[in-house]
Amino acid sequence: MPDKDVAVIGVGQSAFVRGYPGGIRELCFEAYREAMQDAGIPSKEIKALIVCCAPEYDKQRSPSSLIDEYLGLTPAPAFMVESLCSSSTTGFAIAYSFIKSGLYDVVCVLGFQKMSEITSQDVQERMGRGADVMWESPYGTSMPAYYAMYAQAHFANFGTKPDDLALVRVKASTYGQLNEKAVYRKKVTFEQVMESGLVSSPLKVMDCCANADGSSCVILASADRAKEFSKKPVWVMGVGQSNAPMNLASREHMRGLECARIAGEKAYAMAGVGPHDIDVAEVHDCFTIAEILAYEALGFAKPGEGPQLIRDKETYLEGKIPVNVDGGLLSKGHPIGATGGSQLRTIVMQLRGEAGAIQAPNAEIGLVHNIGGVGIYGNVIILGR
Amino acid sequence: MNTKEKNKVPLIEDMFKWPSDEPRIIASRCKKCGTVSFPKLTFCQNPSCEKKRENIEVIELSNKGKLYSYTVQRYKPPEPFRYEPYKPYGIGMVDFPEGIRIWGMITRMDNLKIGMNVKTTAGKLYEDEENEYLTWMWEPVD
Repeated sequence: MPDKDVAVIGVGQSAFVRGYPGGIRELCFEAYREAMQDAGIPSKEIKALIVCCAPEYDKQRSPSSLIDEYLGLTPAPAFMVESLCSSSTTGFAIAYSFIKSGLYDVVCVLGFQKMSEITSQDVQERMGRGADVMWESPYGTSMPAYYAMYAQAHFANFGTKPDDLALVRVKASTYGQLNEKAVYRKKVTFEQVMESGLVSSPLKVMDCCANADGSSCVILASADRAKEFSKKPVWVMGVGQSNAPMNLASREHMRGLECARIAGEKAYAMAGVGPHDIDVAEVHDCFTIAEILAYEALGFAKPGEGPQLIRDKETYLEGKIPVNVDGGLLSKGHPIGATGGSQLRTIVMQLRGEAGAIQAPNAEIGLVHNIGGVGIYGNVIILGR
Repeated sequence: MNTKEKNKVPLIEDMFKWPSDEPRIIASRCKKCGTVSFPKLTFCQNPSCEKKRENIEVIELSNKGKLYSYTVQRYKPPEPFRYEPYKPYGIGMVDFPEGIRIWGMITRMDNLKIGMNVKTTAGKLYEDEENEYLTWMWEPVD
């Protein structure tokens, strides 16, 4: 039984799209409205707003104040949190501790990114600046190149093949086509992945997720308030966080992401569960190799045995540990600050038994693995009903 | 046609030995704890070591190392990176015997293998009317 101190009582997400036609406040409202309707509470119950985004994509400075006003939450305090692609699970961890400490009893975690405010070339440039700008990014590296080096190291150490990566994309598209909020809803075949052009060897176009605009919203509450408002509260069982050196060359090895492994260990220890207790998981598949690394970091597979899990289809709905059955980042798209909240939403719906066509059988405990940068920030959250 | 040879200058000074027949990476080493840093630093980067300028010596790394991991970059990365005329290129991390791993472009794209021996060289990134701008690169020697 999870500790029943802090619960998720509402989740929402905008559609993830290529170019959102409104501004960031309207974009945020889409997720907020859905989460508040889900929670069934009025805005005056929100005691603090945590806005999660990577602000260099925005024209607006200090967006949390704009959004606080637009959502009608003032005078509730608002501030912004950033940990690159894991910003909204970082916001979630802070919301958890706010409630656990008794400082606030209901907190809204709102993640967003409107990457289309700037050109794709500028997005690439800002992405690159998520590495050490003093000397890494000017030397011809890129996000795909960083993950490609992890892939090459995994290939060399464990005999992983491009075919294994393609299988991850095929799974993502199997479920992505069912997700009406996903940016990429086409079925993808193994051959299509294998024939797509190389980006950074061995990663091909279809091994990479797409930029998108989107927002996500998670409402957390104390036990008392959760019982008052919610028939199906989902409880926070474990929160694990860890950082690795920003400079990839300073890391001990490239066989996996240490920040994810350590965050996972912490979250499991806090929750008092292990990998075999997880019924459904959302992992950060910004690239196909990242999902295989996640299997191993989280203990779903032993180091080096991640590829076997996807070859055996064990991470499909029918398998022993369904992973990213909402299509993952590969299908949904990856609006940096909104991604973690979208993952949390999927797991909350799974644990409530409200996931519809992608419902994992008897899901009682679920896990979210959300990574910022190329394995810089690792956040693992375990939820239970 | 201008046949005058352009000056070959490093894109950033003091990162590798140039001009030289045998370019080498310029790093720093802490005389107290042995930590090697690249690019060279003024103070030891080991968090548990003392911060004294006089502990730091500038060193040149061995000219050979082993390729730790690599990729071939198939699209043009955004500014501030400039590589002209752009074509796909190898990029990799190399482990040096001095105990440090360093990024760099690789002089070729094919027949790369993790663990192979490479040596430090210099290669052109781009040029303007006056100069050719060079950076350090890894040249496979196996």
